[in-house]
Amino acid sequence: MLEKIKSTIFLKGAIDFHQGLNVVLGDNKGSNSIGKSTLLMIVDFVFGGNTYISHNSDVVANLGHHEFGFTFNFNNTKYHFVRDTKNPNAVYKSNNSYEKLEELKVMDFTKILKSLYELESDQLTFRAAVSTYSRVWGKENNNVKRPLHSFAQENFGQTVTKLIKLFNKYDAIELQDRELKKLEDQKQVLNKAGTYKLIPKINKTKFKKNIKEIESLTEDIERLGKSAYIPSCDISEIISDEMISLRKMKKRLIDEREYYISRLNRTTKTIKNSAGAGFEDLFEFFPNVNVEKLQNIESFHQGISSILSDELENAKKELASKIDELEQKINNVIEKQAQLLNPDEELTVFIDSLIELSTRLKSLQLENQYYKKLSEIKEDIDTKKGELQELKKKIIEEINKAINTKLKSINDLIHEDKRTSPQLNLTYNKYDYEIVDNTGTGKAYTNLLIFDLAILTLSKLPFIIHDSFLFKNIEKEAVEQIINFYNKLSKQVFIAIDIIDMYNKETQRILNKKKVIQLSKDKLLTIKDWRDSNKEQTE
Amino acid sequence: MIVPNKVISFSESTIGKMPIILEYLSKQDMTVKELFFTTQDYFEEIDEFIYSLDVLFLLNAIKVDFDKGVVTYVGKN
Repeated sequence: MLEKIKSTIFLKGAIDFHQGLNVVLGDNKGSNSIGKSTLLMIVDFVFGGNTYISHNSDVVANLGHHEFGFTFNFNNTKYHFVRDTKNPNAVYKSNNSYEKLEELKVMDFTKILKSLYELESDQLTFRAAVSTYSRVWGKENNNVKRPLHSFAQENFGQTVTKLIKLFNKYDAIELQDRELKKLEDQKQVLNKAGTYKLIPKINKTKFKKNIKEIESLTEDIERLGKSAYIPSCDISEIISDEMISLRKMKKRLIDEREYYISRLNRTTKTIKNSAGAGFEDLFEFFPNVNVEKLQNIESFHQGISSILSDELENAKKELASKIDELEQKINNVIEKQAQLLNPDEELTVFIDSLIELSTRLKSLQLENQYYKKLSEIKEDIDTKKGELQELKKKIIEEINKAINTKLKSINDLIHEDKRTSPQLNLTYNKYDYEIVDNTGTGKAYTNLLIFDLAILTLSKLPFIIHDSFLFKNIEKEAVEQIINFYNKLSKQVFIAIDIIDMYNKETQRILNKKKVIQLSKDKLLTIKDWRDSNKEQTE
Repeated sequence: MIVPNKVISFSESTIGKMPIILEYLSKQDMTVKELFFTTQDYFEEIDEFIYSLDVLFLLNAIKVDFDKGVVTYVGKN
């Protein structure tokens, strides 16, 4: 809780605060411009608000730049800070003498406050939580029909979201929201990839057509597969067996051809001469060989050869044709081998068609796969959207019901004659705050205060600020009851009020007991009085 | 091929085949062509037949009248 604000501009030097109700008391004449609203605005300022700088610029204009040292107390631990008007974007951690020790951004300071006040919702900022319910003259949050608006132009949806966060129900929505966002991202990526032809993109008609075609393709491929190898065995095995026998045959044919070639060569040589036949070897077997005749053997040989020339020619031709025949056979074998090594046309056709069918199948499957993926994502998105809608509706209904119940109970306490209680009608994007059967100004302001009290008691909202103008139009008895209600609260309530002698003794007693400062024409908040030189009023 | 050696057996050699020719000639004189056609089945190739006649001529076993083309077995008588 806020425990102390100290400033050199305070006539009193320092103002101490306490648990529950904190009253800035005006005088019984209702004197203006004595600093009631200014002090409340300073409270807002030390809680991280910025309206003090914009709305209360007259203070700076008249007193110069100044600073506030202030202390929070949580579980008996004191936290000291300093914030000044010269550099309002910073808040300084300090010691109890309010010396600036460490500069923080306002944002980081309010994060500390958020954690100290144990505001659980991750999505909620401290200012968003407290700003709406700090109703000080000068801020724009006093529209009695729009209690959730912290300024007039605030988006309705945002005000409701803020309320859900304050009730710590937004994290569940956020989680779902994030999942939904992820799915929508995926959908967008797939759609874009399809548009840029990175992946196939088809419609439902094509998808259904594809299913049929995939079926028939699968059948075709299965049929082809079955006809391929029956009885099933390894095709490479067949090829190699046949290859071996072909190689053997080729070897035999080549040997035969070599034999005939050598015979042809011999015959050709015989026709020419007898030299080299090796007649000398005859001496080994016939020592009495006629050596003289050996010298004539060439002419004898030529004589015989010429007689048999036709026969020799025939023999040559016969051998040549035999060789040709063998050559042909060898070529046939070579051809067969080549055929085995290269798949024949039929096999090629078979494989080609198999590949073609498989490729087509694959591309259709891919098309359908992406279509399915996209449809699944779309379905998921619809489901998620539905769930989120349900969740929002449920949460909104819960909060709405809790608030209305509380409004009624507070209303009944404040109006002893059991007047109709105000009603909040909350949807996710809009709300209205009904003032049933009563269009009176006073009741409208009462309802605004009742609303804040309901939120303060129902949620983690740390404090509320109610400026004196709010009480002006409210009937005496209602104010007495409201003060009574404030007095029972343990959370801090900062109010400014004056002309309290019109209220009953008990109310006066409470207000006097809970006052943090009493201001009057002679006892201003600040050390300087500039009412005459500046007509701007703080109320 | 004229005489047998470690790769050519006697019956495959020219001198191994000469007796076939002599056997036919011992009965009658024959022209070279007649003799070839009669005995060619025994010879693998015509050159073998010619070499056989060459060897028989060298051993003075036959005479050939080249005018008539007739082969005579010398030792017949």
